[in-house]
Amino acid sequence: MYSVSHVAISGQVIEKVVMEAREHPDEQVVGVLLGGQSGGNIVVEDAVTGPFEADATRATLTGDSIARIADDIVNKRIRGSIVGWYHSHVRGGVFMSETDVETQLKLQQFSPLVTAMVIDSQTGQSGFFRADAKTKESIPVPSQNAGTAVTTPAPAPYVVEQATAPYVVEQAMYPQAPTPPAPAPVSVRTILLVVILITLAVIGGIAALAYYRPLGGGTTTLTITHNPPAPPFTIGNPITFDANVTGSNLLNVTLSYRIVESAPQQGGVIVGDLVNVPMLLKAACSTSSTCTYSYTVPSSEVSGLYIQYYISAFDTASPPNVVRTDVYTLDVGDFIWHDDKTEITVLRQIESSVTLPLDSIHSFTDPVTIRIVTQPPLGVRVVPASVQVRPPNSAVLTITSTDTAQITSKYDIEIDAVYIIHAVQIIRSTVLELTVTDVDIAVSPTYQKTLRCYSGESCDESNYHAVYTVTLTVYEGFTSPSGVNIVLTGLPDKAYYQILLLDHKIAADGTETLTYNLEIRAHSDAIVDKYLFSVVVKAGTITHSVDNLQFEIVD
Amino acid sequence: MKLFVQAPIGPQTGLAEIDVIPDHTIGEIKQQVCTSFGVDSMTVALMYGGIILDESSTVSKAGIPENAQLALMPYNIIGGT
Repeated sequence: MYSVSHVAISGQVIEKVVMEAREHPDEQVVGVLLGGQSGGNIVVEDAVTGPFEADATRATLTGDSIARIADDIVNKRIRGSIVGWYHSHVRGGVFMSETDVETQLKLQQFSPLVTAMVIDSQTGQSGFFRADAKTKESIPVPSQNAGTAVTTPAPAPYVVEQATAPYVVEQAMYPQAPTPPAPAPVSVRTILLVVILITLAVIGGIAALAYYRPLGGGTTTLTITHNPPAPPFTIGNPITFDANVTGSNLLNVTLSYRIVESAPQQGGVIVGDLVNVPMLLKAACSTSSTCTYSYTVPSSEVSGLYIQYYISAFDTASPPNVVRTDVYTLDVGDFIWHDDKTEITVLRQIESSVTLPLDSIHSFTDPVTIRIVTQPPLGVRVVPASVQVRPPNSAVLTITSTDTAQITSKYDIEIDAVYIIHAVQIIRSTVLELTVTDVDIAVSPTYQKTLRCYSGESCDESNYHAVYTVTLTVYEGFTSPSGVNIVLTGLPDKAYYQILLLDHKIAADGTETLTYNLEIRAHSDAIVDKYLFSVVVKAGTITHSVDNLQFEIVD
Repeated sequence: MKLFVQAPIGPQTGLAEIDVIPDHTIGEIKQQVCTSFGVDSMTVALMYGGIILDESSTVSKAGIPENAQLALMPYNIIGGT
């Protein structure tokens, strides 16, 4: 994402940077652009730099220099924040090199409005750019947008506020003072006259101040009366803030708020950009009386869990007097999944249901849509695919699977709770960790024969018993409190069997393979014939079988 | 103890409020704050008092007091041709 919005920069700042570039015709210069924002536009108010390493093809503003600039900003020794960076090209003109785009993208991580300024140190030409993070291409900011429209100051200074703690408000831009004209040669008499006039003016000024200023002079007469808006507040619903402001020479009333979407936890981080908006006069009122100012935070911005805000009023004095309310925190209704992850093990063919509780925060009860985002494994269905639930009710999902459903272990299915309001989607996700398991049985070969064994004979030879191999596969996650039993059905009278465990293996994926020897013997009374039988495995309510196995008694 | 981390880049400065213990390393804090700001931690450093903080150092060793304001900034700004 990039934004081709207006970049306002005064001729003085351009001149300052271009001059620095031209003074170093053989090496590049680099620095940062300082300023603020007006509407959606960057306003560059100054350019600063520190010690940097440079040659003809490269200039690096070092971490130490950046750290010093950062310290100056944090401690308000310089106004505004970093809205861009500049550097010069000794050769090649005004363009963004690969290195430049890389640096620009590094800075754009913080804000898409950050702008690069490139100066040709030979011609003094300059241009403004941003970069596309995907294509790694530079995007020129159109020159008419980056023009010199701000050489005359805006009629009313706007206020850019720094998000600092405790909430400190700072006037970030004042109308720019005109550059002092070059001193003309003057006579000593003129200087004397000027000095006397200035002295008189200063004395007069002090006298006038003493006369007009109320006692305790210098304190502001601004006051703000504010009652926080009445709850409840829920995500997606606008909140209107009103403030009654009294004061002469009032310049503006600003609402500063930030949306806090996660509760602070031990070691956790709260982040929210401080948004500053001018509050508007609700109704016409005379400048000396109390006037009501109002601002409505739009529905699209109101998300949980909290809105922190305060209101400031500024007057037209220079520097302005400022009054500020306390910082208020409003609880905004919201919902979350009770668990980030829910484990469930289902057996093939057996219907299971899972309950996923939703927690309601600050009495939120609006319906949210539950959606199954991840495709379940083959042969597995999770229903309903979409359903509305009102927190704090739970989402209840039913899981069914066919007998050939894909066996899986800890398969993550993302489930979203979606709340759409005024075209803004609020999505909270949880994970259903699904294990599909079963037991399986296989028998080989499918046909064996045996001689009958008469009592008194030694029947240990292989002719006297039919031997099959039974393989039982128990997949990861399968448990059966009553154990797993293997039985045979369909054998004729006077035929006997025994099952002996030969081998037991556990594979890396947790699958257990048990190999058994199944021996069937026929007693002398058994009837010579071909028989069909089944091997059945039973585990609790689960039954699997291998049918139509052949067993023949021969003479 | 509470610290504040400011990223004074862009017209609207991001601010993180972070609860740490004196034994937390600068690197750990940076990692956490970068996640919150959505910034690649390889490209940035935490700075305080006009110097870059050593990532292997801890809050107490670096002498960072309660409620201090740290800055999250790029390691460097490089222009080239």
